[in-house]
Amino acid sequence: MQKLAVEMNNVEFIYPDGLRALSDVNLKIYEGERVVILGPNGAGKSTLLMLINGLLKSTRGNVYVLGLSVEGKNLMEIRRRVGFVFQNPDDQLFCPTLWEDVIFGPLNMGLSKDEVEYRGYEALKAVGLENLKDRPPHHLSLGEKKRAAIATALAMHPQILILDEPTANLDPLGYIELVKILNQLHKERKVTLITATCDINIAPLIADRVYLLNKGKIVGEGLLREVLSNLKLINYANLQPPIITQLFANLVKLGIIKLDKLLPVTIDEAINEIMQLKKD
Amino acid sequence: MIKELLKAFEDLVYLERYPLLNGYLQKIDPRIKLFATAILIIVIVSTLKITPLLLLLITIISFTIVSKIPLKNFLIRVTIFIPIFAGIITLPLPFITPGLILTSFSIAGFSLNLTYEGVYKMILFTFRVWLSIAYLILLILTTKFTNMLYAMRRLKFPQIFIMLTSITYRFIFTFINESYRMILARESRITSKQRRLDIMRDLGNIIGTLFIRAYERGERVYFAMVSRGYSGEIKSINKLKIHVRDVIFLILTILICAVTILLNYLMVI
Repeated sequence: MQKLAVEMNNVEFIYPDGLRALSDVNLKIYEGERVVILGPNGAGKSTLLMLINGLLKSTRGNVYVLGLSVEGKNLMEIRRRVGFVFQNPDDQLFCPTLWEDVIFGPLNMGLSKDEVEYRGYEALKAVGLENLKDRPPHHLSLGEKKRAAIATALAMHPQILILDEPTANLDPLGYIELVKILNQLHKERKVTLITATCDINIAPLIADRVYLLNKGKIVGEGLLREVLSNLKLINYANLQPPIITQLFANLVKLGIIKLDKLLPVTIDEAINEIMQLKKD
Repeated sequence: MIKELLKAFEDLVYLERYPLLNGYLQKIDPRIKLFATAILIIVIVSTLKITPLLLLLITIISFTIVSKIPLKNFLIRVTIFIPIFAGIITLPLPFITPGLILTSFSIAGFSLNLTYEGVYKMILFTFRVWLSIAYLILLILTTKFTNMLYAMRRLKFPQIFIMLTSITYRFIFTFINESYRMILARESRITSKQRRLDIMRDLGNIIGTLFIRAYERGERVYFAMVSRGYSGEIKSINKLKIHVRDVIFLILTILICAVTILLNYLMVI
């Protein structure tokens, strides 16, 4: 049996101004999983992520991270194990140089000087920014800033990495680079990846399992292909299926092809289906 | 136009061209430099005669040259701000100080006496301000910002002060750019000639929005800090060591200060 990385039981969150951001959220994420939380803008994705490392406290229900309840006495331990990459790297990078930003976390963990430096270099290397360590964050491109933001979390050697809209505003190359880095981390360090995004097309690249969030409620959950090919569910969540899935859905609807299983959600799956059809 | 000015200013602040040069002051430990600058400024503001200040002028010119900073640019940069500040403040001094009258004239019924002591006081004051600023600018030009923060930390400046300096440095251009974008966004929707009142009101809105955004960003930055284990204390790796050349520099500075103080007693003017 796999160990639970994050567990939420009937979690509710209401902002001080009365806005109900989350209601009745149940969620189980296991260690080593790649999970995407998909939802439109304002669905409560960021709020949900912030509950995981205790930046916000649920108004009702319990949140457990790696078996620890998210509350006062456990917060430091939880933040040590959970890396958080914020949506806007300009919020995450607040030091005069990239290097100081990267070692900010390890220093707060009270590690030795050598260990702090080692982790700093290692984290920058993992995202390919070791040459820019003395630059002020202000002079980095957005793609570099996003990677830098990931490095600042990585330097703490987190077991869980949380990313809020990591691909927002990225150009195609930056996008590909980011996906590569995330998957490498997952493969080499067994980091649990939890990503919140409204970009459905990235989900197949960085996740095996999906939660659909809409208006503060979990409206769907399951394996990637099961959820993303379920057009009714996707529409109910105020999202659009991936382009490939839309194409196949239309082809099926027009009677051009016949498919007796789930619609493909990635290019690879689509190619497989086409090869299969050709064989038949 | 604004964009170019911003860019130039930004490069000046972030590119750190001079601190990276291989000059004399660049090699001195930032703690020693900060400490030495503080001593020099204290000596400058407590000197009451011009001759001792000339010694400090020669000193700073030599420091500038051995630090490979273009002397002309440096002098212009220091002098630019002087008339605005010291000039305005000292303008009445030559007329209200009693003493040897050089010349007198009357404006609108008031008779004004220009005195020798007054002129001397004005020159002395301006010179002292000029020198203080010059030493500060030289310190900034030859020290990387992060090293400056490090020096402040080691010299036990208050944590909150260092944090504020650091965050201001980091975000000042993020906010300048943000306000610039807001101004552009406003201008792109202006299709007729504006009354002055409308412009003022829009600017007020922009400034207000900027405050709110700063507040919200402050909150998000704090979250980012907390999620990386921040608990009110900034830590850093101690990486700099005091070398022989730092000690020599300190002794040199103290020597110059001592001579200045001595001259201040011995000289008549």
